[in-house]
Amino acid sequence: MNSRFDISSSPPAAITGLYTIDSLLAGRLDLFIIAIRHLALPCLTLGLVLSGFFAKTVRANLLRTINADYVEAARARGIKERTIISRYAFKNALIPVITVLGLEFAILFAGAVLTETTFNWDGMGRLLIDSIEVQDYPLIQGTIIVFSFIIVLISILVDILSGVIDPRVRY
Amino acid sequence: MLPMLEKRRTLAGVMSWIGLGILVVFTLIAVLAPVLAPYPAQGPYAQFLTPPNQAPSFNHWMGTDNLGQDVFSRVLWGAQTSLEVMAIGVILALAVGFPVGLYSGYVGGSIDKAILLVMDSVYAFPGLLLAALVAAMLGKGPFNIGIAITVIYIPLYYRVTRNQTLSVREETYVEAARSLGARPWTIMWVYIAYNVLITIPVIFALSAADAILTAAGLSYLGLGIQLPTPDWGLDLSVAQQFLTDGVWWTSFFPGLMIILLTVGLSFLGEGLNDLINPLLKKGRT
Repeated sequence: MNSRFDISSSPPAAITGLYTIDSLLAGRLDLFIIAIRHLALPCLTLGLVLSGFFAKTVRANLLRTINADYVEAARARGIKERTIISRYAFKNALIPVITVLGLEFAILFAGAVLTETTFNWDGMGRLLIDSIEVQDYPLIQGTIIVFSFIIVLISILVDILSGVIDPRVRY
Repeated sequence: MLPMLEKRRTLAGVMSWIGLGILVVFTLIAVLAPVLAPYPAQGPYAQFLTPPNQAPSFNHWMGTDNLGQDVFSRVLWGAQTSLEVMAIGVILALAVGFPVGLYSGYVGGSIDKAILLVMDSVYAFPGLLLAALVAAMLGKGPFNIGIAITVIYIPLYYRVTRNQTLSVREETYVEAARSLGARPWTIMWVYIAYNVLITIPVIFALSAADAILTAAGLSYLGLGIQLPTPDWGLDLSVAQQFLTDGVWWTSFFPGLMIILLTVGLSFLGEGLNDLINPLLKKGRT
């Protein structure tokens, strides 16, 4: 059994395989709402766990940037404290956060096994665990290569992105 | 640990004391489980007399599970399994990560780069899946699960040790030791190791907290501890199928234990971090 959709109604015809996008493509708003409703709890679970982690990361980085010289300079020029925090300190604190965000995204893609199991979604992590249980070596190797590929790809994207955002970063 | 004894009450100090308290209580529970638990760890008790999935009552404080086992007893015995797996995992990770990090940071150069690359690629992989892979290769006893968890945390200990070694290596007293003709082994283990060790308690507590979650996760997925051994994660996964029947006590209490122990260890780690880090900074200037 799969809990990505209501048992009583049939999912939209597969175009991309993503129920939300497929239902919109088919113009069926009712199916879209069903798909979203099934997404809500798993997303909330993953999001709640990560939100604490991000709060910590942002706090640590903000504490670092708030003592920086450019923040001091902005304060000396008489800029409002709110503007200083949001425009100067926060923006610069976000740069390391983006790196973490990218890596978390990659890890979630593969590593949300517990959430997948609890909510009965057959995702990538579940696929790997199931293939480990039946000792299906080609499938294990295949999923691990896909995971590694995704992690490497996202790491590269994050590096490029942080170069675009922060002109001080040069490769 | 010394800064915890400071007289001044700080949030970090209070946090680490609470964390340490929780850890001590759980250790006592694990050690005293044979005395404290009113029923044995496994097997239906007083067959035909204890119906399965019984709500909490005076005889069974936390109810009974689907096999008629006393949840309170299983939760107490489960502390043994969890702490055992956690201790094996974290201590082995320290035993491997610390010397390798020390060596890698001290020697530097291409050896350092090579080890760093290997460790980073292990670190980038989702921890739970890595542990699942190793656990599947090794088999399912508590010791093997401990080793599977070790693999996740070796890169962490390696990283922290190496980075600290890199900065300690440049200190004047290390240079003095070198100019006096001390051998690399002596410099590493006498002059550098003790000054790197101060960073360890924090990640020791934090990785222990994470190890509890990983061990519970492995058992939950069916790749960790096997029935009928009492284990929180395992009991949780069995209990989950009865949750829709309104049987909440079989999943609530093991889950609560996992959360309490993890929160306790995190408090200890974060508290120590706040206490030790200012000391480190003060020491530098």
